[in-house]
Amino acid sequence: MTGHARIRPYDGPMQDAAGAVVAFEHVSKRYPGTDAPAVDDLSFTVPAGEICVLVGPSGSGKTTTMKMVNRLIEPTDGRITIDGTDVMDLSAVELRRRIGYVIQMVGLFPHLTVADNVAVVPRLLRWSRARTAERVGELLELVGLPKAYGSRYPSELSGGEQQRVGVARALAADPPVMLMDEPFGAVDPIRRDRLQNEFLRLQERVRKTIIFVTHDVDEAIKMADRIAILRPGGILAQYDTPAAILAAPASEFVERFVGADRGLKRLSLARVRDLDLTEPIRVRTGEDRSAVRERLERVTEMPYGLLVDEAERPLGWLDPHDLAGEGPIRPEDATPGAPTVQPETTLRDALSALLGSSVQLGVVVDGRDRVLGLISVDAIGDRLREPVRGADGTLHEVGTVAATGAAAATS
Amino acid sequence: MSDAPPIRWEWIGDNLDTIGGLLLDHVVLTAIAVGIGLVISFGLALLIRRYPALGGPIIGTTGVLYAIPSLALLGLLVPVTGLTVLTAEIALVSYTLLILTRNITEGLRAVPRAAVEAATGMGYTPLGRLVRVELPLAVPIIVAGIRIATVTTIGLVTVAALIGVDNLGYLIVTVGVNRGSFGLTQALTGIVLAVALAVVADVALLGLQRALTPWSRRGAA
Repeated sequence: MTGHARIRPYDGPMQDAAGAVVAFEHVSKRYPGTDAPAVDDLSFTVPAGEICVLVGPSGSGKTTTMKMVNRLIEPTDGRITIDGTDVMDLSAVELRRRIGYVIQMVGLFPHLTVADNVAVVPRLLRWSRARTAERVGELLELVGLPKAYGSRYPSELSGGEQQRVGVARALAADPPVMLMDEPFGAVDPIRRDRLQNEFLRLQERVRKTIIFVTHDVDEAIKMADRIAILRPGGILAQYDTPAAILAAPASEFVERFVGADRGLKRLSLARVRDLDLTEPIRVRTGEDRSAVRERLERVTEMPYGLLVDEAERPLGWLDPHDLAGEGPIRPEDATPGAPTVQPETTLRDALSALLGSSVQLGVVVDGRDRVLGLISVDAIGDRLREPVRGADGTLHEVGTVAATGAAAATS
Repeated sequence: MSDAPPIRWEWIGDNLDTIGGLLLDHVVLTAIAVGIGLVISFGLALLIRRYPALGGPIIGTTGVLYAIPSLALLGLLVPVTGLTVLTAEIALVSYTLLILTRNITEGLRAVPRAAVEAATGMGYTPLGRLVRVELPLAVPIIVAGIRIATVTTIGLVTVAALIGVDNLGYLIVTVGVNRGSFGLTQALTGIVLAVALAVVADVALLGLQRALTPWSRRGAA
């Protein structure tokens, strides 16, 4: 690998520079001839390697805010820094070559092949031919496209494939910061979900600082490490982790914007592994019925046994009533149909499974179906009532704005 | 006279050099006119792109030029620039401006907005974006304009023979002088060659456009 990098060093395959800190300091934007600012005195910091989602209704200045980072729009007041460097200190062209950019309409160049599209910024930066070609191959692989796609034209690709090429193109010169303007807005919901998941997996590898614009709260909650909620007039209403915003909205605006079902939305942020599991009373086939009956009678709360096989896989629940008589316990004695969940299951899905079962207990199993423990509807409820730690480390009591007294200083 | 054969093939054979020379003159006059027209129109189109308000006046003016009958325009120019190639080219160029300016403007305007925005956001300079992104994408519409301008000019060049500028038109406008002998043969030769030249130029330009835009013929979307 012979590098001739003139602007940033690039040492080899996927040794990507981690993200950079992006800081907004009292940034405002006023368009000439308008009274109200489009963006009003915005201050917040996006830590390196995190996804910050700008979300808000139309007129909240979220796209304007994003475009000020690569100077497609220039701020009227205040400054934006990337790792401490004011974006106004670089030429706009040089700055933009160091910032990945993905737009909703994808904006692939129809007259260039997929490979040439991905190679645009490396060529602008005058990388060597060999290095550019190698990087293009890496990126196509990274976004999950066959290498053969390199010689196709964008019109020969599906919408989802085009979007992936758009992401590869933005990552081409290994920029520390990426801007994404409703990148999944134009694809259907099923494909959007898949692209979002793919992108989150990709981000785990590349760890860029990403500023992501959307008007969709659910997308914001799913994608964000931090959410900046903007309200009309370009005012920052709240800036925090998705969990903290859902648990303790800072204002009625935020509360309304995130929706009445924010409790359920919080459930989709937490997973079964976040709960403390309780240990079931394990019963094995062949055990003596009366002995097990006695064991269960000593328990007052939830006197159920979980019948497991020799590999610790769940077979069903045992009620003391099922165990009348003498003799060994047989598999047929158990009531099958205990809902099983995995540590990765979201609490929302787990709750849904639990509510559908008679016992309202869920059996947590690992990848080989072995019992790890139990969760209950109550445990999920308790989890929802626990205070949530915000991005700044403070604990937020859970509740409505009225209940928590709108303690937030952000609005 | 009525028994005279309408076409005197031997005249064509005897005058191949002259005919070839006139054909070459015709090609050169056309190429110069379209070439200069393209340069001027390109400048005008960039002006319109920068200052859209100029679009109406500029296209309007080229439209007026286009509407002036060719003989009248030559008549106006001859007192100033004489019976010269310059006079002929001024007239010919002015007829190309409407089509070329309009098509270049439209071609640039039809470039997908997303491609332009992506190009800007990725760090193309304004000139780089024009050359690498906008012009390539405008090629189909621009070449369509060049084809019309070229075919029109090939037809119009013949009129320049009236002010003594040699081209295939010479064979046509002198038909009366040689009436009864080889006049008809001569005129038909000029007409057939001019039409053939127009067809060849049109097909060649279409081929050029295809070669420049391999991307436009692949894929469904």
